[in-house]
Amino acid sequence: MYLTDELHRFLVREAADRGIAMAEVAREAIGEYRARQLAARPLGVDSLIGVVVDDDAATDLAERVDEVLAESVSADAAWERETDLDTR
Amino acid sequence: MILVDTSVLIAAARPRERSHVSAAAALKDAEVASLGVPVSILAEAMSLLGARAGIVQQRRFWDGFMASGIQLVSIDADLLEAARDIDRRYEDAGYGFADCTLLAACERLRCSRVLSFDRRLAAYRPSFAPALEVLP
Repeated sequence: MYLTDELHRFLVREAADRGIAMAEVAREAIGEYRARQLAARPLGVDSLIGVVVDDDAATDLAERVDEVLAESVSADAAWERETDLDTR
Repeated sequence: MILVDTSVLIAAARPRERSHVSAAAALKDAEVASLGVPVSILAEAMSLLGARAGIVQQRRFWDGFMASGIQLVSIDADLLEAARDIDRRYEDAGYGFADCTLLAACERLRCSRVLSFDRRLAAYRPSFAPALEVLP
């Protein structure tokens, strides 16, 4: 494996400072690079499926999106009125 | 591209939803790179989850969405104008703001397939295809 002079100097110094072989430093570096690459790769839709685990017993929020949002706005408005925060 | 509506995002994300299995299957059946979500739809899903599931679950969904590889469809002034035009023409259909932006995005991307449990979307007649296919 060819290294630039700068990278080679770094590798020699790092291995000496830590008392390990240059090959061990290289293995660590490649391992960290691989982990970052895997983390950056999209996981696909599985990352989204089943991710929301809440206490709400409703089983039809998905089918009543407009209604649920309207209820939420209405509840917020009522709370603001009750607490004198409604300045309209 | 296949555009995904709020209903399918919520159903797929919440195991408790009665349509969870079909929503999850619909997303898995599609090539993830072919899936798109207008930013307005994402905002609607985030708002609903914030209101009903709380901020912790909302953030879990946020992270899950970002890791999914589903494309985010941006909205600009032209698309907003097109959405408002759809809103005018389909005034009686019961479409909301997010629905209209989704349909305008369909027009821009020439996308005739939508993942949604909102069957009202099927009433829309795209300019580039005989009908809008609303799945699953």
